[in-house]
Amino acid sequence: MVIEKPILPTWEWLWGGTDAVATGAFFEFLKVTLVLIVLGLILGLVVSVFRYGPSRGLRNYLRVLRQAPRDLLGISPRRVLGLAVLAMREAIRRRVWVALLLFFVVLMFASWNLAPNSDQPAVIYLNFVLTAATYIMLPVAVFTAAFSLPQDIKNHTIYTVVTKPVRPSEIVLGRILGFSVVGSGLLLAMGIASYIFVVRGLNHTHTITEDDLLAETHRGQVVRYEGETSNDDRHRHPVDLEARNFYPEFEVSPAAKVIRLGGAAAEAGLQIGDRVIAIEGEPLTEKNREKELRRLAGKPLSTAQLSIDRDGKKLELKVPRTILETFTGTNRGHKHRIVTRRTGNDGAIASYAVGPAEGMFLARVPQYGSLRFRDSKGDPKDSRTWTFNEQGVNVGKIFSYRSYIRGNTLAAAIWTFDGLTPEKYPNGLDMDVNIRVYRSYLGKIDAPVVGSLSVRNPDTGKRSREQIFSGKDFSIERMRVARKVWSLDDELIDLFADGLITPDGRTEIWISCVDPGQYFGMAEADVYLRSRDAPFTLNFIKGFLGIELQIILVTALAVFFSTFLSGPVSTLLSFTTVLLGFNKDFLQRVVQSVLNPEVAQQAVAYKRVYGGGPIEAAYRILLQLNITSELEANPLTSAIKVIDVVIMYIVNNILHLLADFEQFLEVQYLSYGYDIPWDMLIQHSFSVISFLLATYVLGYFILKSRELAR
Amino acid sequence: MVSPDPEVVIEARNLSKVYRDFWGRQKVRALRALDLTVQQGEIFGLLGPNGSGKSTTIKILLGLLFPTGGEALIFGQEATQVSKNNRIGYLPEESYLYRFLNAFETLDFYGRLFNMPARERRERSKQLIESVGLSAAARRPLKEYSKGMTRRIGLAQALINDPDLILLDEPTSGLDPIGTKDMKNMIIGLKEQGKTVVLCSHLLADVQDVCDRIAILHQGELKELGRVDALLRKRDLTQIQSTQLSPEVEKEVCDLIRARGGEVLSTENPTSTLEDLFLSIVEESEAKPGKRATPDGSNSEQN
Repeated sequence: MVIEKPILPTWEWLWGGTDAVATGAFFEFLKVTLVLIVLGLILGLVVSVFRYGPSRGLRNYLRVLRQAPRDLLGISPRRVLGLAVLAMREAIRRRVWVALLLFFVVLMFASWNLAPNSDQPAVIYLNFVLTAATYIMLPVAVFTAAFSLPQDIKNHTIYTVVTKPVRPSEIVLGRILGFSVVGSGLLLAMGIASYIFVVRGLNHTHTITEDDLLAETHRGQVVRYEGETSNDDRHRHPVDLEARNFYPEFEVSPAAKVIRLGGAAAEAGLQIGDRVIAIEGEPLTEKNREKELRRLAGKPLSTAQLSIDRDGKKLELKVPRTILETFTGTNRGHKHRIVTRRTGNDGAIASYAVGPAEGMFLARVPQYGSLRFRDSKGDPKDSRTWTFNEQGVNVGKIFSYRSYIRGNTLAAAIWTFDGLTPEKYPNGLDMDVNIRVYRSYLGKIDAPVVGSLSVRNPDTGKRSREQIFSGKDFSIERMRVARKVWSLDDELIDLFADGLITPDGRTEIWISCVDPGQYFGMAEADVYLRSRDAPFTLNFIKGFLGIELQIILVTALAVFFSTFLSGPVSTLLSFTTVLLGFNKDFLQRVVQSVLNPEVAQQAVAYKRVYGGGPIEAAYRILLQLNITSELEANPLTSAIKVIDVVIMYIVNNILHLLADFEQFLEVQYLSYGYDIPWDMLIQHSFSVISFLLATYVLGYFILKSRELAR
Repeated sequence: MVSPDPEVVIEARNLSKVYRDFWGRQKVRALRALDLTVQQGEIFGLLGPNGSGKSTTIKILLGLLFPTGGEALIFGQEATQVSKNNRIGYLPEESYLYRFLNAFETLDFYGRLFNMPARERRERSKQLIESVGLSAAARRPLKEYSKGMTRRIGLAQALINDPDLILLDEPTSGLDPIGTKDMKNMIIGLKEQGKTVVLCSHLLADVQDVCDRIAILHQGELKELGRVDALLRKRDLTQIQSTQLSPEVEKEVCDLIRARGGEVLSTENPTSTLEDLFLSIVEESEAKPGKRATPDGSNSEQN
């Protein structure tokens, strides 16, 4: 998944950007509200006059308007709560919990079918549970909400309710609330079950025995062991043990205090609570503690010379290095920690312990930059138009999302990042690179196309030596530009201190393709920095909150429709709304293609939808015309076009009111391992609230002006 | 708004209702130019055959339907005003209640709708359930209730807010004679508390027993309106009831009437109504459980 549209900060989203290109959501809301109010006022008057005659109609109309503010604002929490509880009881009586059973059954049989050999099992598992939860809960929400009020009217139970001092607004609100709470309860249960299913389902360890490993010797000395782990959960990991990475058997806190102790270290005299003050004679400094602690590593069974502080007394200890801590190679998107212990004087490896899977569930927090290109001659500007290159070359697909740079030329893709600080990136720049490879000749098909990456200061032009990487199509390459990199003068320099990043935190990442004749394709969102990962559990909760928002939205819509339609019809209409909402983007493209074909053709070329409006489309079908061919100009076709424009104008305005379900990307973010930004959740909450508000007010007016008895 | 006369609880002025279909075409003229006032503290009966507009009138008064013409005022407010419901209790034709709730939950729910605090709701529910005699079944869901029990819980929910005006739609329909009698007693009891009761029914006997005033509707039009005793009194007809009247004495009396210029229409031994008989049997059986000894011994013959 590529995140194309970064989420705006909520403040900017609400009030509009400083560049005044995008109007703020709040103003959009005001605009829609105003239009709706005016339309509602006119429509209400027309309907009222039509039903009750001019004088009586006008009187009823004014009466409803007069009572509206008090009814809408002066609602009683107790009454709403009573109605909400009733709605909940009703939903439970209608056995909504069957949905839960269904979900559990689906989970029980799911792992049979969830592609066990996939590269990204976590993505598949998460995608599966989230999709199942969404697709089970949306119909349940629609059905319970859409049938409730019509059923009440049909059974006349509404008589005993509305003859109490209950405002119609409270009836609408109580229902939305009650059904939302039931939906949330079900979703909570599904969420917990899903979490357990995904985390436990993918949890596994491996074992390593000595037979699995092959020792590599150098001048008679073992330098490393190579091999594979056992095959568990249908995969193995490569294992590569450095023989020089053995540690003394204790663990320290960030303040260098000993917090855990193994047998060999205890034998050497170390105690819990001791503070390490120097290793191999080098004192630990406040600043470089993490780095200094790496001095603990060394050859197996050698001893580490430690100075410790025990209750103010300074002690010197020699602690043998007996354990090895490292990771297996990455497979299926995760790796395992290996702890090796060496016991006995012969140095034979006694045991390995393989920890749980790590890196399986991610909540990456990407930081995006802006992308520009240099062409094959290294020019930043297009030689004909004298504008900066925003695109690379095209390799054939005209409407391709990515543009390409040619290998072994001066062409480069340049990302500019800002806001980089040593606090955010203490270990250097971690980045994910997702590159498309276009091969103009086959070459060695199993050999990757090689690329290079370097860091450059945009102000001074100082740059690092290039790092080589292999570009693999359709996979995300995790790369790190370490804190210390080689400069062009072969010096090891610090990213921040030695001027590769400007003092205000800007830098450029240059990527080019090394293999001659091959191409790399990329778009802005393909390279991003990862400062830190967010906790996965929190992200999981956020993902379900995203589903929750959709459930509330659907519930409100269904309740609203049921204030004036029968149960089956409002169910149908709710489903239609959801379906259209999931395709809002496409619908908008269709509408724009009819209303402004030239603009759609030029600006968003790959977004134009051919075939015209409904009448034109029907005409084309009738005459068996190709959708892209121009219509013959005659009075009939121009009339068709005019009618289509009118229709699409109306559709365009209705589209503004349609809930954009496509926006609800929380589920995708979660399953593809991106942290769901709070801004996104907040913005979605705002739009759900505005829909709630609209359904509440409109539902009130409809119920108020409707005869509930027959 | 019209200045409300505190004595007038319901006022219908020139009220009319036309049912229309979706396209606005006229289907039924359910009510034509109804004028009606109900005073405080009386029991008012709306009578009429099926389809005469009784229920329509009540629904308009409650704001469930909107009048096509005229005005309906309750406590001086328009019937569509929600706030009037604070002082109204309504028992619909068939107690339309949520069948998955039990009696307590039902009353608690309706109590909430009156914005009553929890403690008050509890007390009031308990008291009402006792007074309608449902204490034993208070925790059973309403779907298990018999028709009579449903009516009674319906009445209880209508009284939850201690209303000043109670509208009863067919209060005795579907009830057995005992239930009917209880209901009538309840209605008279409400009147004694100073409450106004409006009921509509097509069971004339029931109406006759309890109502102070009645209105008779037919095909949406008001045909008769007045006090029950005044309406039913036949001024030139006298009924004499006596015990120990031998045929000779009876003949003498008849002769005397004829001699004075009167006309004897009939002389007969009045029969008891079936209702009276039924009630007396049930009362007797409650006092002395077991098989009842009939005066003519017909039961023992069958054995």
